[in-house]
Amino acid sequence: MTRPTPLLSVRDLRIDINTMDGVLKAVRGVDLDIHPGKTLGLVGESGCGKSLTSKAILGINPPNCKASGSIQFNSAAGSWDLLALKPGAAEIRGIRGRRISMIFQEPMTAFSPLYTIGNQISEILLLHVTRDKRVARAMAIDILGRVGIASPEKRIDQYPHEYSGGMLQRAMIAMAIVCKPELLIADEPTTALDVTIQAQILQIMQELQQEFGMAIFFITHDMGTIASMCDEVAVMYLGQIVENGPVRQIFSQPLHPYTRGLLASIPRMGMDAEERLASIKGQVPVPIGLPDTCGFYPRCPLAEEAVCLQAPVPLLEIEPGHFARCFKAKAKGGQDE
Amino acid sequence: MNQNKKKPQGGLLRRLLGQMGFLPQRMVVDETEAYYAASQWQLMGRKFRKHKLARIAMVVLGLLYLQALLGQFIAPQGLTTYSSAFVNCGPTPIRIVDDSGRLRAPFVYGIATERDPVTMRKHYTEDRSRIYPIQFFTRGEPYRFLGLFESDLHLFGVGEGGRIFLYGTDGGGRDLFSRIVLGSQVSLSLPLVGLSVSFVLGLVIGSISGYFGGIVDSIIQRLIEVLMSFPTLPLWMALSAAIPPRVPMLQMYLLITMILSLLSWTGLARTVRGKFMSLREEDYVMAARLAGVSDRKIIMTHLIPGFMSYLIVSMTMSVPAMIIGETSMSFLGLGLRSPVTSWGVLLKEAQEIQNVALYSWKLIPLVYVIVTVISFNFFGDGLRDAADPYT
Amino acid sequence: MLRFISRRLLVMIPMVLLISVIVFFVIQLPPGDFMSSYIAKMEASNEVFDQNTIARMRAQYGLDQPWYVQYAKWIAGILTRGDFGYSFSYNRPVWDVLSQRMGTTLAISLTTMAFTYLFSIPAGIYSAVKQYSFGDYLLSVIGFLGMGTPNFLFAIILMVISYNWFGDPMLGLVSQQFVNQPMSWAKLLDILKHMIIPVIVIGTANTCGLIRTMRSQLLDEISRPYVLTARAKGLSEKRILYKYCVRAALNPIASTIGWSLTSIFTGSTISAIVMNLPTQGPLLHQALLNQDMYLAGSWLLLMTVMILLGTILSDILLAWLDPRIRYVKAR
Repeated sequence: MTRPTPLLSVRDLRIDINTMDGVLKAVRGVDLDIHPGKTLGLVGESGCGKSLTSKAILGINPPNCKASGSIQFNSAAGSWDLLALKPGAAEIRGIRGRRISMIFQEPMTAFSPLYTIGNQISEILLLHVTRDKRVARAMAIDILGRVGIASPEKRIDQYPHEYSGGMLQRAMIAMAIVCKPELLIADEPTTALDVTIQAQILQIMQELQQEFGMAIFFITHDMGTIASMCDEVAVMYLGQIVENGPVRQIFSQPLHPYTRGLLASIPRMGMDAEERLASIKGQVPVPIGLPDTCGFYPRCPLAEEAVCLQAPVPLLEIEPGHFARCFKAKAKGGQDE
Repeated sequence: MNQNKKKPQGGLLRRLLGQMGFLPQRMVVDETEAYYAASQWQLMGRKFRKHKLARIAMVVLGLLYLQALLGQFIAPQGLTTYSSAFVNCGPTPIRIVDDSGRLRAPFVYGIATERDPVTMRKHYTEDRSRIYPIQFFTRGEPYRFLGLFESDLHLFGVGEGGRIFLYGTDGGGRDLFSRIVLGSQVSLSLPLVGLSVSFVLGLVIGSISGYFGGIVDSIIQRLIEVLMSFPTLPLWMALSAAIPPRVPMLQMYLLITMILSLLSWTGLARTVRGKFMSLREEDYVMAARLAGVSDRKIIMTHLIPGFMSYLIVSMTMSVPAMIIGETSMSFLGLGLRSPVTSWGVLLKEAQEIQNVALYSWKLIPLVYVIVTVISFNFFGDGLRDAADPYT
Repeated sequence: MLRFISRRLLVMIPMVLLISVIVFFVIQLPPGDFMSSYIAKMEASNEVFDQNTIARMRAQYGLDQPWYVQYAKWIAGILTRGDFGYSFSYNRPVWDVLSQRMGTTLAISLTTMAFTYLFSIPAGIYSAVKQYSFGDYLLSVIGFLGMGTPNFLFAIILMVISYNWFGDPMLGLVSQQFVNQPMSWAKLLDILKHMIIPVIVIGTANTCGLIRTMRSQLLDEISRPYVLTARAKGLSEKRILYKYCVRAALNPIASTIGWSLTSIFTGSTISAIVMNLPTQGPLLHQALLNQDMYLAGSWLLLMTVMILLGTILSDILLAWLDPRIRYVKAR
């Protein structure tokens, strides 16, 4: 299958964290492609490395995280290997917020409480787009209106604590897209919000994506959100991508036992009330001194020592465009077809 | 660390973690298993040991307290012993090489006295003709060890006729080293006694305030506010000025202790109250209450262990202020007074700058105060870091 | 805001009254009174008083009445006439004695405070930004030493050093030869020289405390999520540090100005006694030793009121600096 050049391609991304107890291999060789105007979902449990992966793109991980590999960004304005850029230097700062922007999980703490929302949105415009404070202010009011904040010309001079959580997340999105970036990274943007507001935020993001044509890298631990938002999905477990493919295929034909576990743990309409939700046994181990073999082995229902612990599992293309990191999946996929 | 606290804490924690599914049946790495399985106090101990300065401070404090405990044995002289022949005599040098250049066991020379014909001040020089080897575990002045038994055994001394003043003598011809060692019994015990008093006061008053709330709470809170707004040192000064000059030693000691603890329980009571208020809202307390556990039992088994480590830390942190308070007041002649001897009382002789300039060894008690205070600071710092074992 | 301030001031009134009772009670606690300690002193120099004179003098000063009557008279005098009573040992009204030393006390306190903030804020920022560097460790060690050494003992050490090196312990605020001289350049220079040790001594403990507070506050702020947001926007590290983190860390620091001034006032009491400064500290010491009760009582009362005012000032500053609190208060 020939595909256009991806907007962002991550190759063999590894992130090691130096802790007091040793080196923690948080991300262990991740490959991802994000295409212009499309949405890639990254799903996994807390602590699997998805957040680190997303922050590595902007180079904003704390200094004790050592990243290696490459993150090729093919923007309309030029191409860069983001990992090779010096973090904090002018070049990557020109990309941050301008070409790639990010929204975070906790809207309540993501704004500084000391400055007005308007100040914090104008700041990014004054940095990248214009030098005129009045222009920046007008643009900020305009964008606040577009993300659905009523009477933005009044709201702009308010402080974050005067906003509700949902409104703050809207303001956050406004701030992220005000410079019309090519890629928007959304790190669990709805986790901290009420369910009804979650839906509104997701809708706004989709509308804005259509309007501005940006790509979205959507990180979540909620399979339900993935289904409604994404074109493609990557499932992450213990610092590795364990399954990767178009959203339809993953939902109809999950290959990796971990993905199946995740899908089985979503409550469905028409489920028998007596039926218990499936859960994955055990818990995610601390990734210090892990073996190279399958990380899911201790929790896997299909685990079979003779097959699984032979060698490190590569990401196998089980069906066209659909990859899984499981020896068993291959066998089973073959039988199923 | 605290051994008898270890069991219930660790047990409770493990049970809780187990119930919540945090203790996995099978761990991939041994090290992580050790981490999850360790009790809270073990974790605290481990974390405390990582704090190097706190460890050093703990050793220093241990030595200081050991020295205070064995005071009468370590000090070559008693508090009242003086020799008018050796007033303001400098520290006796300890030698290991004699005049003929021969290396020998540590010894001191005899002390010769001469008077400056102009200033009439006494000068002390070494009398090289007399040599006194330092002896360990010698017989000397009799004393009652910790009020338990009579003894005349001393850690060190020189033979009959010789004199050894490690830190020199004071204006009354008394051995400064002995006085510092014996003074440490007062200086080091006083903050601990004072602390226990304010600990109990703070815990009881804070718990009452926090548990009952309502009108009791507001009265106590207003009282605390009033007490807190007083300037500490000046009020201490005013209160200790009220102590009659000629009260018995023990009574004076207790009065000063009371004064010191009178103002220091307020902060503690506030935190206890705050913790009570927030803990009352915690789910596990609610669960206990729903299960029909009595209030008293909830307080004793759930609330107090819940912030014990915090209390211990904050108490350790307030020791330095007490030591400094006692020292300053005694120094000004408003606190402990002779014959009670503390480091502050000893420093009174350092009030005159000229006096200090001439006899610099009179500042040695100061070194002890500073070392103690700093050690307590580091120790408290280490405890504070350790008290939060899961961060 | 105005309502908030006036409410705080109103709450202060009953507190101050309660405090004044406690203060007076404490002050009259010592056995005997000014007369008895005065007589003891006089008798030591072989002067003899007959009982009648003593009784008359006691009655004149109201010392023969129970303490609560004395208190009522004292507080009534303060409230109606602003009369804080009479200082026996100075033979002057208490207010005169206190106000005479106010100028020097304020001058030394304000200088010390300026020194404290000017040094500790940059040092705290440095310490936080270069966490675990050599400079950070050095500042920590100095900080612990500074907090561990009781101020007045530090004063002794510095004075001894000064005495040994320059032959002058720099006691007091001005050298002997300038005492009754009019102000001149030479005298000013002399005063400035005498200010060095007091400012260092009185300021050190506060400075060390402030460095540590600034450091931990800033470290706190640096790890907040909004820093990540700011970084993701493309802001430079320097701008993030100063516009967001330092500004946020300064709030609690700036709000301490109120009580830090009063803590310098009262915290310097003992150092001032040791250094023989013409400030309020030695006054209290003398008053306590001489049982000059109105002087000591008024001193304590005024200091406590100042602490209360300082706390209110701090609260106001905090409310003014932090929009979140401003918001809550406004509602």
